[in-house]
Amino acid sequence: MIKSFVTAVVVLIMLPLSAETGTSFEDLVRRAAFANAQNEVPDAIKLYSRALLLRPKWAEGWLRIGVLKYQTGSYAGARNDLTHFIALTHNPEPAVGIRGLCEFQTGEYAKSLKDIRRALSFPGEEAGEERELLVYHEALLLTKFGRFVQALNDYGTFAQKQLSRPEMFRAIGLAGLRIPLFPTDLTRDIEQVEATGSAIYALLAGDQEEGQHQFEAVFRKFAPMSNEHYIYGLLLFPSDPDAALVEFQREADLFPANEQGEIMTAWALLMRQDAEGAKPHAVKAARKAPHVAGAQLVVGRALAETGSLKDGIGHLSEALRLEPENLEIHVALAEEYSRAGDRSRSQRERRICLEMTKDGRNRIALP
Amino acid sequence: MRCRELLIGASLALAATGMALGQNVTTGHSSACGSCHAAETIHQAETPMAQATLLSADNPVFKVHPNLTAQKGPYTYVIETRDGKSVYRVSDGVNTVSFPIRWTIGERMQTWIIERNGHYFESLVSYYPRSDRLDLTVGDERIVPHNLDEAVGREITYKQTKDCFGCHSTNAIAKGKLSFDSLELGVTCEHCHSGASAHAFDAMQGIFDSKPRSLKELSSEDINGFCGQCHRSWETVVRTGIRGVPNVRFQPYRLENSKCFDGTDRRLSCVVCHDPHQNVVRQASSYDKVCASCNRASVNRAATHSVAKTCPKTTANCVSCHMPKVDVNTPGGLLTFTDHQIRIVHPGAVYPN
Repeated sequence: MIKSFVTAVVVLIMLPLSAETGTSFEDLVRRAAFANAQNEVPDAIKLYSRALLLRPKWAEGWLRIGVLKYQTGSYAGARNDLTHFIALTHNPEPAVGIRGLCEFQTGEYAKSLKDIRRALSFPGEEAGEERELLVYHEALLLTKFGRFVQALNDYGTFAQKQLSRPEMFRAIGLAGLRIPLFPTDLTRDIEQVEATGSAIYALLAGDQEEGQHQFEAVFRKFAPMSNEHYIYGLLLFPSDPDAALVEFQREADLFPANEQGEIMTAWALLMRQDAEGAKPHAVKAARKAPHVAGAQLVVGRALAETGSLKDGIGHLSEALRLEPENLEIHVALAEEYSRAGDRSRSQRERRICLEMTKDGRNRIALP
Repeated sequence: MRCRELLIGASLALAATGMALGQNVTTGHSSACGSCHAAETIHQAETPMAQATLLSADNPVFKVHPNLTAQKGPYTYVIETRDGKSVYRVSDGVNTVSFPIRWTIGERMQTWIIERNGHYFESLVSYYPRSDRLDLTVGDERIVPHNLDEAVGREITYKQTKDCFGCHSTNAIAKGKLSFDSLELGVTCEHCHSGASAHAFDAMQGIFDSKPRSLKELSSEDINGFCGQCHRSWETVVRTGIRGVPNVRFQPYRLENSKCFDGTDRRLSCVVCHDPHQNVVRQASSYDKVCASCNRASVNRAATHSVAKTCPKTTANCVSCHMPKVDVNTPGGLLTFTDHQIRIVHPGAVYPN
């Protein structure tokens, strides 16, 4: 997006250029383009600003000046200018992503995530540096907001394309270990987090052997860290759920206060159709972390599938309140309402699930 | 006492059968169960489920076709059978690799699991009964082998291998691991009635406490989930995102999408229409009474669930309209399935979901 816009700007300078000092709108625009072509960006910004004073509804002008300010690191100003452009145009696509990146720099993280996600939803090229930049920042923000699995999905796209950046292993490690920080904010256990991130990257890239080897090296070299066995199990789960269950149980044993070990142990047993076996782990998880949707999901399913339908549905409803966009909660509700004979609710949940999965992607069952 | 004598005799015959096979597989314990449960076992061995895994010597396709061949691009595939042993051979015209066939998966349409250096591969070609020939395995149409090794087949993960044998055979999984030592060919009693073998041996001593749980007590939702362990449950298919005609083969999924499906209403479930111990009944009219248990004009005051509308067209051969046949395109030609999503099918309507 940025590159294509900059290219357009360069094309514009093919118009007859001079350093004339006219003050009409057209003159100012021409002079600004000339200044930009000469790499005199501050001058270009001043001239575009004057042009916009004359014609404040000139949408493209706000986009041009916003991009220039972004490139010079004036993120607050760029954000404001791009907001003007978005308000004036029916085609905000070129600006939304850049505004999101500006908001990231100004610390407006919630707005940044919203804009970046919106930009990524626009149809466009699947690949490209701009898109990768947006995906990377989305992953950083998802980690910051505690949406770790979604962040790992983003990092997975890099791993599958064998793309990495120097700071990526640290970022991946933070997401995998469920540490809601930006990489620059990590001040301790840096080597361990990066080593874990590297192991996660290998598994995300599909190199099972290398990933397992690296995880074993981490377990040997460092003192146990919360969520190490959890994330290892999570990554093993699609291909070897039995080995994953061992890791989840190890996590629960090493870090009894960490509800993730119990949640995933319960989940792995539920996926094995062992609701009775899952129940004690699920109940423990829900007791430790009643505010965590995953805990409510596993206890809801375990109770419903071992005869306590009403209680189970109650917990699933609470899970839905906590995470309304979680597919697995809707799947569970569809089935448990059906078990309860509530056909209309069951059919409603089935419709929601089908709508959520209409993209045809193959999803791993995760809480 | 009579039952016990029958069981002892059956177990001796079973042991002899196991020894005669010369491999660490058995043909199931249905003969032991049949001593007391004759009605369930008498035809079970003939069902496609019971023959879901075959040894080469017992494979009727190999008996009729001792030499099956196919040409796919530069690669030639040959399955040759001699003296009850079959070999899967792939050649690129210069080199040839060959592997013994241990496992045939499927009784009618057949695919082979090839073991190579501790890894498992799904054969790139399968046998299709309709065309009576080999062709690319369903789902592998987009694979373009770059060398002879890749042409053998698609490597399947350990979990996928467990899943294959877990559904197509009995006792293939022991303590969570794939176990060829305990594997029994096909879907036999123990597959669905967990603990049946132990119960059969206990029964010989006159002990009947260890009988497996009764599947008759399961709700419709649970039966769908039970059969769905292999025939793909609703939640499994939703997660895979398989849309369109290819999902017609997942009957529990399609059934649960039916408007009339109610997880507590036992008038509609897999086993109401299909006795898993028998072959599938192909005659459409034989299912009319099941449809009529819900869709009829007279009100049954004893019914605990609602009575649905009656079809204004006819009350015979219901499934021929409301569960239409759907053709699925495969490399080996069309495969026809009955769509289990019960509905009113309007002319020209698109396939739902």
